[in-house]
Amino acid sequence: MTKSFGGLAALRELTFEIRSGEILGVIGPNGAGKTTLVNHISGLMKPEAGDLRFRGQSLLGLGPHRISRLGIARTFQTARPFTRLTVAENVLIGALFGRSGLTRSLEAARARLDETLRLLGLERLKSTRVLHLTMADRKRVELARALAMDPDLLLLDEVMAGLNPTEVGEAMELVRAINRGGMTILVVEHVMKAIMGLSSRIVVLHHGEKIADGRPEQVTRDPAVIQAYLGARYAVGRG
Amino acid sequence: MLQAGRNGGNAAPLRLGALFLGAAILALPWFATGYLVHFATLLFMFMVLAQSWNLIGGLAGYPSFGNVVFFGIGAYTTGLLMARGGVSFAPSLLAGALLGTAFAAGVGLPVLRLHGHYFAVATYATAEAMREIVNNLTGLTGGGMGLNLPLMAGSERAVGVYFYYLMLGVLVAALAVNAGILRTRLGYGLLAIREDEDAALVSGIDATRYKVIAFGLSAFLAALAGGIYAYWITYIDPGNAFDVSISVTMLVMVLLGGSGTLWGPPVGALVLMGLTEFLWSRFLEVHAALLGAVIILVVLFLPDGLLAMIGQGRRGLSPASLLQNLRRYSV
Repeated sequence: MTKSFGGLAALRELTFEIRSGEILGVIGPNGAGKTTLVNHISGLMKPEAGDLRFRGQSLLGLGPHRISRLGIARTFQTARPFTRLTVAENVLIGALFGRSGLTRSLEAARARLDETLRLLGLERLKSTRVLHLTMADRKRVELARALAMDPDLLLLDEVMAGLNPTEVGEAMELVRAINRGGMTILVVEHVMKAIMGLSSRIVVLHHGEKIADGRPEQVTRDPAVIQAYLGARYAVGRG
Repeated sequence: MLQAGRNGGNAAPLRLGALFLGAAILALPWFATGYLVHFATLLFMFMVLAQSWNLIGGLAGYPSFGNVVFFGIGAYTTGLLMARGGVSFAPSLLAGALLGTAFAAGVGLPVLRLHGHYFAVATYATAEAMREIVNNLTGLTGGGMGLNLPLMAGSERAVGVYFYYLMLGVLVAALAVNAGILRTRLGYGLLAIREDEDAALVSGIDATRYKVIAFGLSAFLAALAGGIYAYWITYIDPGNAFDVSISVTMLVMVLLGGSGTLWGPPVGALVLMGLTEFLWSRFLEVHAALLGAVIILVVLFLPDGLLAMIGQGRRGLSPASLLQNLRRYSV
């Protein structure tokens, strides 16, 4: 499965693809267009030109709910679980409305709910309303909701933000475990340790354009990337 | 899910009390005065309206300020079919309910694209526009002179009792609809839409479809109430059938009792009507000021309504929670 792009708007002439089973990292300075990219893939924004194809099918003109049902799930930069609902209700919604969800009975959805809660260690928080949870737990709930949808492609938008080093390590292990199960993951991140540790490939965005695309070691040595992050001064001395 | 009765230990006395209350409600017309029966029927009607508003305003989180438009469409459709068309009550009532629903589906598609305040204003404007249209189509509707419906055969007492049970029946149906929805995909979908519509969309929920369904169901119940109102009161005009304060009253009742819950709307209706009746003895006339006062009260002290406060107890009325409530609404 490949997913390829070409598009405009706050992204300019951006073309790239993501391959089945890989963890693709997306980095870039603030304002580079990373979240905009995720919004386009998940259908909350529409490209002015170009195409978005998922397994050969164009996503243009499809509403976000249709795109989700094709097997694409995402999390938000500021985690957005349903705050006044309980953890169980949040994840159940993912199980009910995701790809397999619509043909599922309520009982089958509850089974998927229990599975997902177990996977993310959320069982004891099952009946707690999300508004009483810490940020780290809210992110886990949002992730659980996304996973309960049985996606093939998972888009994680700055899932490490606000986590302490221990939590980052745990989150990284979780992402690896999910990927080992066959999930293709696109990870937008600022936390370098996470991106370097997780990605098989990295795409770097700057001002809405792709300025690098390759293996983590290559990309971090790329002068254009260094310049984008740190300014021209630092790029000169390297090679 | 979001329902009353989490304190499992008190189930038996609660059930007994509910049974007794149910029996009392069923038996009321036999031992009450004509005035009390009339008041109770009006109370049931507002409970139905509150339940109907709960579907779009409470569950979906779309605050409609114009739901009286469905009430009025139900009232006028029933009225015109009976008075001008000689059609009997049941088919007229059904036609009114269906027309109201169709109107909601039609108007809903554009209007439900708006959110929050914009949606509130648009629905309010729709209701006002409809009132003016009906007012101006004098040839058809009688305009400002109103419409007189045929009188039902029977003594005043017997007719009063008939409408009491009819309205009670619709109320039970409205409660059943709300209770039913809360257990289904539709219920979960609406709550998700209320909490965060974008997150609901990317979770796979077809928000447009669900919103229109909620709006349509809300309209069906409100139009049903309107049609019954028309035959019960036997006189309707644009002023009483499309009265904006009906829109606001049903909304305030839901907020007062507990938005998005099953029993919140009826409790809110009971408290609000009981209060006005006790203080002023004339519910429909003097309550603009009271509505304003209740809104302020709810915002400051009871953002989750009375039902939630019963759960919270004393804690809910402290200065600390007052400050917390004020902060919730800061821009």
